[in-house]
Amino acid sequence: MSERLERPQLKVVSEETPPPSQANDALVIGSAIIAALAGMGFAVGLALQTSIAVYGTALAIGLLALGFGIRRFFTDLYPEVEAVEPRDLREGPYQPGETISAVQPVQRRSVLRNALIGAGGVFGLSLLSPVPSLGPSPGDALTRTAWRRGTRLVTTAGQPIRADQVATGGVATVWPENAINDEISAVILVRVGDAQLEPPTNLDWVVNNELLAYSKVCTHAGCPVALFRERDNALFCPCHQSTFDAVRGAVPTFGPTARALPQLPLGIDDEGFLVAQGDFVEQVGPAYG
Amino acid sequence: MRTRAGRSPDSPPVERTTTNAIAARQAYRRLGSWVVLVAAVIALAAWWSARATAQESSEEARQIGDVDLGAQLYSQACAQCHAADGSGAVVPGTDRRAPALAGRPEITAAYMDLVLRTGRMPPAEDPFDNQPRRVAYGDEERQAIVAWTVQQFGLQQNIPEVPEGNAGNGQRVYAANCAQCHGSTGAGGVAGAGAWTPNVNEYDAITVAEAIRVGPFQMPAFGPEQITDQEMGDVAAFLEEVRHEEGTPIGLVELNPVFASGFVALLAIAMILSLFWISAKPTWFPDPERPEEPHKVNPDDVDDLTEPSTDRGGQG
Amino acid sequence: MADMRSRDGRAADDGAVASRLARMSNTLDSRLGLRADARKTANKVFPSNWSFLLGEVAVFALVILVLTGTFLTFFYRPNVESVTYIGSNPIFTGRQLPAAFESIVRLSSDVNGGLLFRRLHRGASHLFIATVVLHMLRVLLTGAFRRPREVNYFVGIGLLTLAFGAGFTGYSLPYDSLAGTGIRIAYTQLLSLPLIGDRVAFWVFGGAFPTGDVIPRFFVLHVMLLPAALIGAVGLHLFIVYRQKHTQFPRLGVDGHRLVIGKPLWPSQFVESTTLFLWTGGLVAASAVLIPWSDVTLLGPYIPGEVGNNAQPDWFLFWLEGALRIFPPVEFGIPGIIVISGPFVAGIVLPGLIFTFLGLYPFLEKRVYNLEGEWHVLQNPLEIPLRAATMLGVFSALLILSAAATNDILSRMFGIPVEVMTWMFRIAVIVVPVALGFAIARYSRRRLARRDMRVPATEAEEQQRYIAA
Repeated sequence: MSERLERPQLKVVSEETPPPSQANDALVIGSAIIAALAGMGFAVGLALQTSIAVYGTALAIGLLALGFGIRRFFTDLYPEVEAVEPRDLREGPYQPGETISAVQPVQRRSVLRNALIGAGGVFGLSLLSPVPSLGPSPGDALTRTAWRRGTRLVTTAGQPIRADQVATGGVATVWPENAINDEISAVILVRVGDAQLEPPTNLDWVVNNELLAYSKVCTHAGCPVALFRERDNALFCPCHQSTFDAVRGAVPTFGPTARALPQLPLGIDDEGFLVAQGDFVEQVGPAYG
Repeated sequence: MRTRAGRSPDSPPVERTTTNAIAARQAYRRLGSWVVLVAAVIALAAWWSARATAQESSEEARQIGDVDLGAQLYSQACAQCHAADGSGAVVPGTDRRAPALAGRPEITAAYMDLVLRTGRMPPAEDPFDNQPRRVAYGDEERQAIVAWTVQQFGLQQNIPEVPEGNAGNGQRVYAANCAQCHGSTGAGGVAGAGAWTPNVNEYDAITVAEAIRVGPFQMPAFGPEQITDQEMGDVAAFLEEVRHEEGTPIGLVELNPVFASGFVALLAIAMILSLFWISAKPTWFPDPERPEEPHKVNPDDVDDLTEPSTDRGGQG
Repeated sequence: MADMRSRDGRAADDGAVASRLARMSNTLDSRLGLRADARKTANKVFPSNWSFLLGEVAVFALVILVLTGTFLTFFYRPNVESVTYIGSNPIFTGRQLPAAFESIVRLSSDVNGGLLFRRLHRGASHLFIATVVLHMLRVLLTGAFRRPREVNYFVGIGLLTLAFGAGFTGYSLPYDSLAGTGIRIAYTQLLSLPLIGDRVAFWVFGGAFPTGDVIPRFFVLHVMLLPAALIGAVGLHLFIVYRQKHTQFPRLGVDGHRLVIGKPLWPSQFVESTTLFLWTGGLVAASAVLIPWSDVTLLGPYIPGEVGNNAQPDWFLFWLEGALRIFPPVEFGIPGIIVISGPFVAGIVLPGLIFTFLGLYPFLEKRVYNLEGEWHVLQNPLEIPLRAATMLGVFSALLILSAAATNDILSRMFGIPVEVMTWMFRIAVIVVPVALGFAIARYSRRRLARRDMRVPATEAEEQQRYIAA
């Protein structure tokens, strides 16, 4: 027996009525109970400050059960309908048709109109002028660091450093004494021990023939070049694996960096503490356009 | 006494077999009790020695080991590469020399102790490769080897004492000195040119302290002015805190974005599977007692689908 | 259980509830006159396929993000001044921390349910971006970008960009060690812009990195500007879909060009959407229990000059990070005037090229195959050689670049030196996409030849296969 159901607003292609199903009713009731219990479990678990595993699981179960139950409820409540609808096709050459507004200008004043549009454009662009207020002009912030002639090297804790404080084959992160944690001024102090120093290492800037200082800011993307391999005296940046040869003026030996780490002119003052002999002479850190 | 076959009490019992059976049972019982007693003694001994070992490792790691045992172990496991006199020899199967242990100031008791503790030596596979590692010796044997090499090669006795530390300060010191090689949570990483930095959050305080002072292999050393003894204890306390961090129910603690991406993929797959279910035609579970066929109604205007439609024309 | 159902399926005791709802809707309708529109909308037909729900998952994930995010904003402190943390976290109690990081530690350790909200938020963000990407992949592969849907396609690409931006600013906010490293690299990317880089970087950051302004500005972007843009763009995106009607897969006997065949909004699509919303929430919640999505406190606060090994951004930026890692050393120009550096090419030019190419692809396909008219039925990419080749090529390249971002972890896992690994990726990223592209183009052309077909230029031509003419 076929029935034709009247649905004037929907052009139905096929329709299936769900049969009565106690199994489905049980699923819906069961889901509802589980969802309710889980919801209460979530609330109680949170109130009692149990672990996230407890109330989080309750939340997850509640949401999943509720979703399941709602779907089972609806699939049994409504017929499964497939319908069609015509599309709005806009094919063929485009015809603009009637103008949008009914009121049209009485004359053409294109010069005046263009003048106003031009002025609007200029004024609009000028509204960008507050943008430079967002930050200071770079000035020499990218070309000069805080190192000067006579600036002592200090640890992050602020202690000045003597030449024998770094273990042989060891490294230390140091800062200018008046600019600790100033990112562009970070320096890595390396004690290479027996290794032969080669050009382009500047030997005037080396202490005791074994202590060198290089900028710690990687010339690729600016991460701290913090790893040191004792065996081949390599400074290694963990971000993109740029590698620099510490006994050869920190020239790049591998990786995406194109420039050597600048060497800090290192010296010793009268009291035996390590000092800088001046600022870096090369560009510190990554290139800027 | 009824057998299972249910013999009546009137039938004569099989006396001899029963007596033998009883005697046998009694003999077994006696033997059994001896077995139990011996087993208990063995178990007790095992537990006692285990307890004793546990006490030993948590106590003085600087306990002097048995030199004779050390000599024996050294000649078994170390001499073939490092030579019996510690001068270093060509590693069998390669053309490279193992480093000398004697006559080098950087080789100290702490260094020996460290490589044995971490299983770096004796090598598990390639002796020149950092990985994999396998701890070959327990505390007693390790102390023995260290004691023998200290005596034979005149190594400096410098196994550190590590004070109790504060994990908070340890995180600060660790992040400043160790994280760049070993990762922010001590999971290890690479240092380029085939050098791999090990996972350090498994290591106890002595191991950590030895590594810091010795700077084994490619690792730089940190003197007392760079990392003080108290700071070493702090770092060890931090690593222990990381070790004991309570993970999720599947044991995950902190996820590096690379491993997190695997789980994102799993979440996306789970989501897609549920999309299959949600968009599918619902299955119905009709009641069996009333096998009513679901109505399927097909209106007559289905031929609308292929004929020129009555849409509103080509223009919008 | 007595079966109270009558023939048309309505239970007899629903009467009371139904009449109350009817009264309410009459009250509204007599004032707003919406009944006719509601009727039209409720009976609108939507085609049904699991892959059409991907975009919907993204929308629901966005809703979850907004809800959980609101809770988080009540606790998060968007600045980097030093404060002392006193709380139950054993590692950080008593320590001086940047305020942003401290608020995250406090939220995770001391606020009841705080960690759950953090994980829900982060987990939902991963699902959001993943489903946006999958949805884009579906659109690209099935050709849902063809006329008249080009505008919506551009809106979609805009949404992808906004989603990436929201993700990046979002995971930078806790200001942990990894986040700070990422912010530093973003600063370098801005610096690398030729001629204007230094100025632009200083405008965005408020000075030389690290400044106290970058976190507050990221906060405003992440909490106000990007969500507003996302919600607006999503609204536009959905409106256009509603207006143009959804595309559909071809079906025998149905002229998909003239007709939409599918399920009505009420009840089918409504039920699907409701279940989907609840299941999205449920899956995200389950993932929040099992996976410590956002547990970054163990990494410690960001300190300039420090970095942790294994530094990667979140997965959706792996392709950029990989490009940065494997790009050969390049830097030329006049220092102080104009410099072109590796990070500029790998981090700005490359993504620009990829997005531009994807954006213009609909027009490329139209030109190559002389497409005409409107397209409402989806196509099989294996029958369109250009599409199959370019999509496989572009996405395999992106996958290889993404894998290259993990080169240090892969190196350690497989025992291959990281330098060798990098060279393998440098070669693979060029060879593999080209080879795969050519291979699948050849397969696609063979497939067309086997069926004696060519790429249809109009949809009517394509539909002939499915309609008994």
